[in-house]
Amino acid sequence: MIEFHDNVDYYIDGYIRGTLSETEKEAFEEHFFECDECFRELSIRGALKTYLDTSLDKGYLRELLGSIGETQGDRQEKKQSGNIIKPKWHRSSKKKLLVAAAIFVVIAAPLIYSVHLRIRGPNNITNQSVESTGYQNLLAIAPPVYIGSNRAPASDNEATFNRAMNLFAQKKYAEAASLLDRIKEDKKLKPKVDFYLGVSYYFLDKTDDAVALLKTALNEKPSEIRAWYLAHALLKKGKLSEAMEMFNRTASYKGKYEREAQTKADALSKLIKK
Amino acid sequence: MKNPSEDEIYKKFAPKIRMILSRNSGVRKEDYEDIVDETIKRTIEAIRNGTFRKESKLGTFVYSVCKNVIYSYLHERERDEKIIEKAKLRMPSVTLAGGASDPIERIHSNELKEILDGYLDELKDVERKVIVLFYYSQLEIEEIAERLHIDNQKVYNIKFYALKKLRKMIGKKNLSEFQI
Repeated sequence: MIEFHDNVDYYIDGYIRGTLSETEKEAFEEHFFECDECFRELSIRGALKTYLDTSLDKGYLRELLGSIGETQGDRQEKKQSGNIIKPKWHRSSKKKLLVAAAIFVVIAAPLIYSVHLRIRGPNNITNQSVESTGYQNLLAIAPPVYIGSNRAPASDNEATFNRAMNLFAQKKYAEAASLLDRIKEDKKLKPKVDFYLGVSYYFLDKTDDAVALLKTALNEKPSEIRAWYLAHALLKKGKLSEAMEMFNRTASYKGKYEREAQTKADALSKLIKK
Repeated sequence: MKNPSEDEIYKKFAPKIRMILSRNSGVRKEDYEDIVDETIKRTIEAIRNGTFRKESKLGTFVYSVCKNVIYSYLHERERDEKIIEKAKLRMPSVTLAGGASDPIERIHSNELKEILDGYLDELKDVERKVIVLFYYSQLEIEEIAERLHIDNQKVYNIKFYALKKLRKMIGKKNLSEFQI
């Protein structure tokens, strides 16, 4: 039997660096499925390697390596991806870091968020009642993106919620809804659960449930995005006046949906007057 | 002994399954969660119907289930690709749910970057060089010793203390939340 703990560095570093033989690799995998201690160490070093491979600016690394006679030819070429960031030890001052962070928070983060929330083509919705009233184009809506922090999930419910969000991101709404339904009584998570469960029901065509939950979610924590999805759920249900009101309320937040919501509210207003 | 719940099994083994998948170049990232779910599902079924006997180790059992699921996945994928090739079909473009553009992954990665960026700041110059040469340049300890004009034991020690600092910085944080 192999004694992994006598050769921790050999197995963990070898696994990360891909230098173990296939037999050694499989034996070590079987081991870390049992041994949480080894798996934690593997995760830590794996994270470090991924960071060095993908996140650091290649030019700066070259500079560091060049100073000790290292060349790029000494290592296998790695695919470089993700955001390139400069390590602090290459920054001229702390000020630059703070300015960059502030710029990211003020400009980049909302921009990234808005890109994910952009309006897309129509989703899989039943258009039986919709087609006859001619507002199907107003139902075009993209699923929201979960941007909550997962820094330190402490409870099982939070772990379940994170699993649900993974499924939600994959558009597996039925599976996500099933998990969210299990934790809907969690007081701390309730405002988030109600909202994502409501949106899941919206995409699953359970419109009545979607409307009820999104109304609750909006009352619990009023926000532009919650009004925006409730407006669509009301529209899908055929409640044109209520939907119009809700689009107007969305526009009143003067946020990223303002123009889109106003356009939809105006279109509905014309439709109702007819 | 009480059987572990589905959540307990998921919490304990999902990160380990993902680790294996990340080291298997044949598995597409968008299929990771399907493989994780299938492995957990089969494990739960085996516990319920008594196929898994408690005298065996659960980790070893989950590992063997996982290997079977990966094998079936690769087999099916190979078969699908042959059919597609034969029929000259094209797969529709797919948004990578677990890919780099995934918001959840981005958040995790950003957290991780913050910690590791801070970590590199903390290191002494020689520690940083050893870590970069070992994990990025993939040099062996002897080669690093030669480059830095120090002996092998010294490189081992520097690496040991540099990793100790990282462990300390990460503390008790739940690493399974990071996409590694």
